[in-house]
Amino acid sequence: MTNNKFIKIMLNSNNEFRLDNVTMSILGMSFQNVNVKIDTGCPYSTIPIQRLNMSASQVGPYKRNDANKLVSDIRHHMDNGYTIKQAIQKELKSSFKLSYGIESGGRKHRQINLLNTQDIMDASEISFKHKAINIDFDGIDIPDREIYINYDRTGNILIGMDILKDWNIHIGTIDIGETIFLACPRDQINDGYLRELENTFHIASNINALIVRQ
Amino acid sequence: MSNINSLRCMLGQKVKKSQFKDVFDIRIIITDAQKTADGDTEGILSFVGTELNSESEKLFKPGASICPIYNEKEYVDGDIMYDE
Repeated sequence: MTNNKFIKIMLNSNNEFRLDNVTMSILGMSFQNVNVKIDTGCPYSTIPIQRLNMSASQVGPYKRNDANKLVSDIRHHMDNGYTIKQAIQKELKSSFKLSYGIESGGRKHRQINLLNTQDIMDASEISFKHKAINIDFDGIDIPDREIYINYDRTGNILIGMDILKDWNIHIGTIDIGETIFLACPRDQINDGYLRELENTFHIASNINALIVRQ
Repeated sequence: MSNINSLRCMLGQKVKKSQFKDVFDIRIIITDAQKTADGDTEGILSFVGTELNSESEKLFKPGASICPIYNEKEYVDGDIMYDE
């Protein structure tokens, strides 16, 4: 952890910006210094929970709980006069999201019956929204926020644009050829960050600090 | 996987996350994990294994402070990637 109140990451040999120092509490547990991938192409930050060394059998009850709640909520909306499509739309993004791998063939992907708990349990493409608290990115406190949890996948923990949109972000290649990601939450812009912006990209002087600090 | 036995000998000991940066394809769980001033994480080495099991599952209880470690060799080497 640095005393700097900004994030500076060098592109690694796999062309990734990775941060090895993220802490957050989810599902009633605190996860310390987790390795995440910064993904500006990802709309919603998602944690494939098995990446945190929780076993597939262990996360099953968590997923079943979320699936049961989703079915119950959709049915509740239908009881209140919504069509099934409207009921699903009300829950979409507010409590779950669907994301498909490239192999699913885009629009030809399998339809999940969201009124059937077992069908949801069998679907790896569904992620559920949960509150993450006590979030710390390399020493920078981030306000509590909702984040998606996927119970089936085992890939990278992705920090996406839902979080990064609230940051001042710069990516560029510096004189020695390294590609750098330099960022700071917009509401935490500080002199150290502006200095680093100038030292790294020589652009801080072109940025009106008053605007950046908004 | 020759080093897994030596890692298991450390179970129950206080460790830092940085000690395991070059350990690949082994599931490691540090409990009672806390950040140190230098940005590392310190805690008790509570699980070491090639597969997760009932012993690892017991560690994830409400209020637990966990530092999970899993360095996937093929991924780190760039031999595989995830579609994301």
